[in-house]
Amino acid sequence: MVERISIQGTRSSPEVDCDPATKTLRLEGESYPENTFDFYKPLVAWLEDVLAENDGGSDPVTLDVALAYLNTGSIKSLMDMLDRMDEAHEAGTAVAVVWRCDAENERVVELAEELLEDLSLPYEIKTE
Amino acid sequence: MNAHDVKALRDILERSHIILSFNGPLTQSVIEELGDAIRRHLEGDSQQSRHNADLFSVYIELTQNIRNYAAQRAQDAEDTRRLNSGTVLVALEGDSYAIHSGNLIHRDDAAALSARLDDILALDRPGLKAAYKERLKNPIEDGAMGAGLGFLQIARTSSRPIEYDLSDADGDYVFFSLTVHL
Repeated sequence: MVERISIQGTRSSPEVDCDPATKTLRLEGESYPENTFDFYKPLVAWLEDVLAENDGGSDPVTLDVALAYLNTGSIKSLMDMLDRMDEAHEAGTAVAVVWRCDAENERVVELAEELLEDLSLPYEIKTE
Repeated sequence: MNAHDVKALRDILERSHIILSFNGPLTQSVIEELGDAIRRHLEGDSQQSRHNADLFSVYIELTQNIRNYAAQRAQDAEDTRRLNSGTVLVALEGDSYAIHSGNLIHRDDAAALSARLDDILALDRPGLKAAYKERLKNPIEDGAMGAGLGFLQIARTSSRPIEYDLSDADGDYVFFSLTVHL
């Protein structure tokens, strides 16, 4: 059984909730933590575990992103998560990506489009 | 430093339109504090929101680059002290921002850095995007602290070609400086 990961947000790191009950990985806030890869490594591993467990299930494994700013280490980590989800999607696993952006934060909207445009998985960019 | 030196330094800052300057050891909390100051300074400047996000982004990449380099390359405590110290200057020229950064690097690393930046400078916009996407797909190298995306991101954000300089410093060090116009 995959365990839940909850991390409080700080000025430079997002609030994280990886909930196995809803199969949802949620990131919200700012993302430029020190040692960015160390921060994201357990989250990427969590996602891999949930995708592996979910093989064949009908409820989607969901990545729910609401980040105001991402440094390049965070962008790379997010791309790794999206690649894992895309591979799972192509292998028949139900996945969903929701990316919430502040409509005035043009750069994040552009980033979301750039990361998602080459993938085959279903996604939604919501500007609020 | 005496009062006369302060005036001389201020004259340089004024002449260069510097609105924010920092010189000293970079810790994550200093990076956050200074980042907040940059964001707060920009808050009143709402029609520039795209520029503001760009300035903050370039600032974070530059400063975290310095810290990651120090963490990876420093040999001992004295070396860490030197490598982990940075200069950050934000200039407001007319209605556009420029950011300058400077830090010491090992002399042995200068040629590779220069080659990497020259490669980036040789790329046009579509070339920069392609190189960026390729890096995004590559696995992270073992022990790497950065994605190798920082300079590419900075070059994509910059409104003009980035300018860099490597100049002799004492001992086994070279001073690396970078200017980015937004």
